[in-house]
Amino acid sequence: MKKLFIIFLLGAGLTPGCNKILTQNPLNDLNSTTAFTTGPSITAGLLGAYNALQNASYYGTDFTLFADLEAGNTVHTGSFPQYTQVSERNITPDNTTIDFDWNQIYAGIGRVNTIIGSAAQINSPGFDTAGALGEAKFLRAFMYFDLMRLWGGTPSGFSNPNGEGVPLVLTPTYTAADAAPHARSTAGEVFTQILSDLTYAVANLPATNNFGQATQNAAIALRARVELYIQQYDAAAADAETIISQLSSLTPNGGLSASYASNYIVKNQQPESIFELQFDATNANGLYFYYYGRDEVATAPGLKAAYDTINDQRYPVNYYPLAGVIGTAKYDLADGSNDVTLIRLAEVYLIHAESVLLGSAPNIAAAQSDVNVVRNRAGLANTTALTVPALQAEILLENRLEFPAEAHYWFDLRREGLCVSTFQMADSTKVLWPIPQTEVLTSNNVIAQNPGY
Amino acid sequence: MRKFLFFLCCTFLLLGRGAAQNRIVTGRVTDAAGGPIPSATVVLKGTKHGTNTGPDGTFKLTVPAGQRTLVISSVGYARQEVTVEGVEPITVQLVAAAASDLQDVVVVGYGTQRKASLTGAVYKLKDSTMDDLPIQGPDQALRGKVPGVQVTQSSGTPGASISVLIRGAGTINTSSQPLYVVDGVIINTGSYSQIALNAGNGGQTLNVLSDLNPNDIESYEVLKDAAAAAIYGSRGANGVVLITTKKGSNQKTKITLDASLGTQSPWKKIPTLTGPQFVDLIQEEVTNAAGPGVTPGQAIGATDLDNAPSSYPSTNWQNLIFRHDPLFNYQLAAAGGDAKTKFYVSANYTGNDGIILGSDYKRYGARINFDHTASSKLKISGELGVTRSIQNVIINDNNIYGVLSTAVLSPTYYKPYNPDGTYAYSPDLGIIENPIAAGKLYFQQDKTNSVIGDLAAEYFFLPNLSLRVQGSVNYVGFNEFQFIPSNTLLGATGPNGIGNQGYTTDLNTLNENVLTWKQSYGDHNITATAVASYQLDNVQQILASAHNFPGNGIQELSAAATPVTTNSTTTNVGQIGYLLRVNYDYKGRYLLSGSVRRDGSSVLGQNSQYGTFPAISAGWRISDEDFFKNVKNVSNLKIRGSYGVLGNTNGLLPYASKPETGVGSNYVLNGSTNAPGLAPFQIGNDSLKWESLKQADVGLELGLFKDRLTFTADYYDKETSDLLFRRPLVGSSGFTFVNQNIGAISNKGWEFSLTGTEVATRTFVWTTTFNISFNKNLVKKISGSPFPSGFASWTQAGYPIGSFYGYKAIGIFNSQAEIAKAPVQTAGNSPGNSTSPGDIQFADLNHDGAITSADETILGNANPKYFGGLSNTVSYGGFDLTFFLQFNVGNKIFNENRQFAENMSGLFGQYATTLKRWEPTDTNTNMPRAVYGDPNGNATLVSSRFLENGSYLRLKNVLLAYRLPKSLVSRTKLSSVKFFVQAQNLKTWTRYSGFDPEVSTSSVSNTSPGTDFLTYPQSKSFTFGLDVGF
Repeated sequence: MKKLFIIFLLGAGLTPGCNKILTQNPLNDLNSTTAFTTGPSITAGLLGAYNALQNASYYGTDFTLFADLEAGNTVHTGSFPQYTQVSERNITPDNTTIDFDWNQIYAGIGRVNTIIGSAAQINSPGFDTAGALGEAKFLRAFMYFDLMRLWGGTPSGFSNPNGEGVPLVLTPTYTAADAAPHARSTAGEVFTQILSDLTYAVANLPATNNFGQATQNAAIALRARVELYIQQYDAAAADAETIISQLSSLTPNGGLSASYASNYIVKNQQPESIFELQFDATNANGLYFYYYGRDEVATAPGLKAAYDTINDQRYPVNYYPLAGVIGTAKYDLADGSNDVTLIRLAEVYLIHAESVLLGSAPNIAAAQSDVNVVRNRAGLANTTALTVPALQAEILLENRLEFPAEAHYWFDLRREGLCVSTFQMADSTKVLWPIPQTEVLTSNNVIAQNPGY
Repeated sequence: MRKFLFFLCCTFLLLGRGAAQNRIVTGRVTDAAGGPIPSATVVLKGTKHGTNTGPDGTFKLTVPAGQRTLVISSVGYARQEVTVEGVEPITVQLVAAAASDLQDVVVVGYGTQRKASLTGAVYKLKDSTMDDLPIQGPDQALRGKVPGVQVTQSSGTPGASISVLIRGAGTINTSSQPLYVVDGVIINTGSYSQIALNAGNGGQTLNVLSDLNPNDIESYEVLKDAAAAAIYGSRGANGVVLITTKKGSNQKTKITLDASLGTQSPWKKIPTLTGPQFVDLIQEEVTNAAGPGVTPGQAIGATDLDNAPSSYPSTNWQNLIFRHDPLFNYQLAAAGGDAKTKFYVSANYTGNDGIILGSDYKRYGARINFDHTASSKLKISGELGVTRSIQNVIINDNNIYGVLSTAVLSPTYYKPYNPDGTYAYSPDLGIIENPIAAGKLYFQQDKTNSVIGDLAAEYFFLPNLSLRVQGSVNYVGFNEFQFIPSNTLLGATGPNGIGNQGYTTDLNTLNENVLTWKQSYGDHNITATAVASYQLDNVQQILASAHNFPGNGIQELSAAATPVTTNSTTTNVGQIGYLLRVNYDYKGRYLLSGSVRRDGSSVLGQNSQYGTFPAISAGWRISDEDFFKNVKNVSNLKIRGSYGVLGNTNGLLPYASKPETGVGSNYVLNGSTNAPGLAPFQIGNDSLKWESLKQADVGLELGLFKDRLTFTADYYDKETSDLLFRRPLVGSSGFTFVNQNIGAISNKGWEFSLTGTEVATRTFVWTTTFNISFNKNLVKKISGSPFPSGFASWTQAGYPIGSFYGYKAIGIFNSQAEIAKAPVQTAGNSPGNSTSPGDIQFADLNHDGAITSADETILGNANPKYFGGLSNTVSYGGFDLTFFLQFNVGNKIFNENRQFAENMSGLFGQYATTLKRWEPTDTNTNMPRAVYGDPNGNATLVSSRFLENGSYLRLKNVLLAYRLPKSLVSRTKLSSVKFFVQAQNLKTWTRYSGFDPEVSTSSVSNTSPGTDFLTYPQSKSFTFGLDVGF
């Protein structure tokens, strides 16, 4: 009898393919540890990182809307209490939307880190590995910078290296052990990393690329923006100058498109569009829907009041009635296929203006000339501001008028330390967003909460 | 033959008996019709010496001189003694045992067992009246009938998922639903719908289980404790439901036709405000929010609501979407066979139109079962069931395009149609669909083809040693087609018509090899079973979506100008299992059983793919003891106990343990070209393993008065540990969770069942069955912080799963003075909010003087304190009257409907209960004031205001059948004629104010049961039927 059992069990063990039954590998997915070793997979991985930017918790909706909502360029007309908190500049750590936003930006960083971490394994002859890594590092810098703009620095800006930073995660996460919490670095440490990534990106990115992907100019322009934020004005001016000198002669408007509105009708309008997040009906954003579908936000009367509504061509674009809502012409397509402009030449002019104005050798004329390029294209006369403070105020105003719905104004106020005074905030610590409650709790307080929360 | 002789020799050697002057007796054991009875026991009377019959019923036994009497017995037949004299081979014809004894054979998985010798908690449900009930799927059949099994028909959607919890929910993140095994085929259950995930049918999901025709089912065996279920090892933790389909027998072919027709309707509608009452309410809302004299036009731009309330029309939306609709069931079956071959074939057509506009269900099915004894050594058998169901599904529940959802939430102050015949919408609340349009224009049709089939061969090496090899297939082809035309709100907003089509095939192949050995050494009886099981489940899915159709005449995707989604996925799951089970008894009095199963699954981490699941159990039939012989009236007394370990991976995603980089993170290049992107989305865990359930059970079985009254009691204590959890990670790692084994949950409870025959005369029989179960659930440990789910549900260690969490509403403020004395009510809300007389007072539980989120607390839970059923059958003459009551007591329901329909703060339709709202002149009420915007959070805060007692007692079925007398029937060519009338959900006693207390908007969710949000209610139905035997 025993024999029979043994034969039976042996027979069972020898059933063809029985061990194979337990080795089932996903057919829709790749193993992360080996996914990014060939040229095509790295290219796809990079596109996956851009995809992270498109998410509704990032530029696809929240991030793009919050910079105006918090700065009062838009008003909250919808029902999400998380949005109410942003519009009232009184965000609680348990706000689930900011939790999603934080997680989403870090998910994007995770995607990039996986590619960068696979660099040593890359074995793909003929593939521009350095260029790909440059693109990856550009994106990592871009995302860390966005984290800093919301959660980092101090209420008065970003120039204090001892200001609040964020956890600096630079290696891939494959296992739970890799996912152990990193304590927050200082603002200085994070900006150093951002600049280091950007320097690599500038050196290795191609001059031209598919529209939607980073180029060398995009990296230089982003670096100029970062330098402006941390008040390294001379460096910012130099980087801005590099771009302006290349592009200014390409159109009669100093490189800007003839019409402000056309930037939002024609995708990737050259040379003004430097870095533009691409969308189409399949890969759509939620911006139209949030303005006109669920009426979550609407352009504020206060923004209208800031415009010369007769002459300023930017006014009808940014104060745009559609479907019974005052919104923006920038997101006027119901299928969510409008691009989100991330860096435009107009901003580089304003960076240049501010940097030469506040740099080691203040140059009022150069600043005026930059501001005028932007004003003239909008149909306005030259600026009448003559002094440094007046011009600085003028530049801030131009930032407000030029970039609504492009994730700008709140950050401009933040870097200049103007949030508290502009909105008469009772508590300056509310200028920095709270680190999401779940992040602090999950990390067992390894990731510290921002002061005041 | 040689082998056989060898075996006999062995037996003799084993028994250590001499063999002198013996003779060999041969014979055959048959049933009444002459068919063979395999595996019957043939023993020399007064000795321990015996054998078993082979598959052809023959036996050979060496009989020593002087011995003449053989005792022959087999499960299901009366024991018989024969004297061996003269002519051989002898033929012994066994007669079937009395009906009650027949029930005693229980399918236990990989074999059968006599009920008397069971040591595990197995409940057999065999109820011939069920063929006459409008039951759509086998899960519905279990409702209220089986102790310890809580069946919640969460909605009335035809074909919807039903939650079946055996001894409580033992898991949080994987499925808590039992394993279903049909004739040995492990089948897939659940929903394959991909569109529901995208376009939303609210919380309701479908279940392919409803495609199994209950009319073909002979019996259900529910394996509840570890001893019974451990044979399914890694998949047994939620219990196992073994389904046995009908088989033929050795008899003249019997053809039966069962037909029933009926009608169903909603058993309850909820009164709503009329148009004038509603406008009056809105005007009061506005006045209370913005001050006296302010009109809706001034305050919220709703100028159309400024007129005198009495000038508005009134629409009762519920009357427009609920309907009386037909249901029908036709079953034609033939069963029969001869001594060697038996068959059962059937065809079935069933359906109903659903009580809500736009929903219906139809199913066609056929079944062929056969078995054949090819030789004395070989038996082959097969079962094949095929069905096709076609189902029109409506959008519902938590969805502003749903039919019932909009019927409840639409204002009543306008007519359903515009003068030009188009659908009318509220001019002030344009975002929700017209309910009739939701029912008529939205189209979703799901077609399911399903095959459950198996072929098995059983080879008898020896009469008592056989190897059964079974190959089986469970195939599901699921095809869903959704079209949302451009003249609907959802289809018009941008997309200009939406088309979604999904196709799924699931091919689940299973090979099981069962080696069974039965041997008796005198009074020692041993049955050993060894199983090797290999399963491979392949699921392929395609989903495509497109927008922008040229009108609504063509609904196929190829007509659409804008493709939106094309997805295809393939998953493979492999499982291997080895089982060894030994049942031993001494004189049938002392019972012992042990089993161990070793399972491997491809789903788990590569370091922990295999798990071992042992179980032991023992029983003592005290009533068989000599000292018990004198105890009068006690026909059976048995105690039994079991302990074992089971596993659960049900519902775990196929590749949950692997570090994965996924597709679909695409990006657009150059403004128009979509380019493929890859992105990591999951962290690996090589140690991911089973959820492990340890369960102990003790049971008592008592039979009195020759088993005319039987009573069973069970106590169980089970704890699931290593719960599969998404352990939260810091988001800065790039991931938010990792799948890990954390957490524990326990269920303890009592089950009682009582079956009795109160009266049994020749003409009048009255039987009663009653069962009641008590389960106590406790979440012992979870990963991370307590978490919310659904609308008000909350999972926290130290509380039961399905708890509700929110603020405690303790009354209504009647004056400003009361408000001044009370804690600040709106501290947790946005500034500017305020409290006025007529608002709800919430409890300040932490006594900090303000109502904040820290004052939220556990308010109750959705689990019943006890539940069960009571069935009575009275037979008199040719009449059978059966009534079945189902009850559920002590559970809470969170009535989310009222958070909208009694909020009195906006423009959504309101229940008539709001007529009793607080007004300065009418303060004796528990309904707060009407105020636009709800500044106090009367309705917006999740509070005990909406938590209701969900207890109910329901007259589930009443069935009256009349059998024409044989004398009358025999004059025709028919063999039997039966008429019946049936009513389902005829009466429900409940204090629950919603549509139906049997409800769960989250369908089969573990953590958020018992919330009602615009869920498709059950119907009341009447059917009339005719069963004819030819």
